[in-house]
Amino acid sequence: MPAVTTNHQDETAAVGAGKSPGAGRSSIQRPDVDPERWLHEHGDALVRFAMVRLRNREHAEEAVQECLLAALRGLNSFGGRSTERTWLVGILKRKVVDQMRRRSRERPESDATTARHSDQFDERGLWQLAPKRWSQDPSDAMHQADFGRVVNDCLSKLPPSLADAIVLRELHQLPADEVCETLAVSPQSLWQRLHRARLALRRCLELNWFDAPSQRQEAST
Amino acid sequence: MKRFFQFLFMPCEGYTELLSASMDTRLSRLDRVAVRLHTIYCRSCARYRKQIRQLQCVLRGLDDVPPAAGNAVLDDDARRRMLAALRRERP
Repeated sequence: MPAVTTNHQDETAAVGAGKSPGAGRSSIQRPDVDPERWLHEHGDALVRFAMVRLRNREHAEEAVQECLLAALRGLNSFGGRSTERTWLVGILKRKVVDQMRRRSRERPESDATTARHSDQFDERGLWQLAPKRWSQDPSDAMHQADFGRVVNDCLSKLPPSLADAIVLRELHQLPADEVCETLAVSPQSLWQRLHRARLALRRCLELNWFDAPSQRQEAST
Repeated sequence: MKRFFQFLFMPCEGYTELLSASMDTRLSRLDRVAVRLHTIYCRSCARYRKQIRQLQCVLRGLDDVPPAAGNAVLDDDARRRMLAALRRERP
């Protein structure tokens, strides 16, 4: 198992954003410095948060470790205004963005540029597999445990460059220009990736949930 | 006029691109009008628009969906590794 590398400069920049460490005050509000308890209480939730976004256990664990190390170094950025969980998730969110920035630059371009044409349209660009009426309202599906797994599976099946784009845009809810900066792409290229991601995700959810009656019945019993 | 005919004969695939882009940027007036006209008579594209908006809600709310049992929990090995790294930082 390779050791997880961390970048010290990066940590402090992410955590201490715009806050001067007031030594006197921070000692009052300082939460328990107990990473063991952090791991115990928040570890699962943090890994789950990162797994959905990075779609890879090793990468997710790396992000969580970077998050906890950054939290340890930047303790005085915890103002006590939010819960400990919210504070940690905030740090993790930035660690996920950092990792996507790194990995998107290491990746070969090919999967973003090939396969432009979707099989949902014929060669004239007319619907070949037109959207069907969904058998359930998605807001109801969201209360069912299995639905989360199906959405995660659909995300994992996307080419990484499309998945990163839609994750940053919709799960992280970053503005489009920040997503462009993170992934180093033009707005046009981002719109194209998001379009292809939405096409594929919509179809995948239809196939595996909204138009798959047997699975839904199983899931709701 | 030329642009108008381009829109008139633009296939659904082009409209789905515009529908998606409208979630990330503000479309030009011409594009907005064209999309509105098209979705009046094209049921598939109207349905597509509705469903990608629902997809957006699903993705934005994904953190609140109950997790599948036994999925993505930190295993003992990873926990131990992380603790070791944290202790190195602050013994």
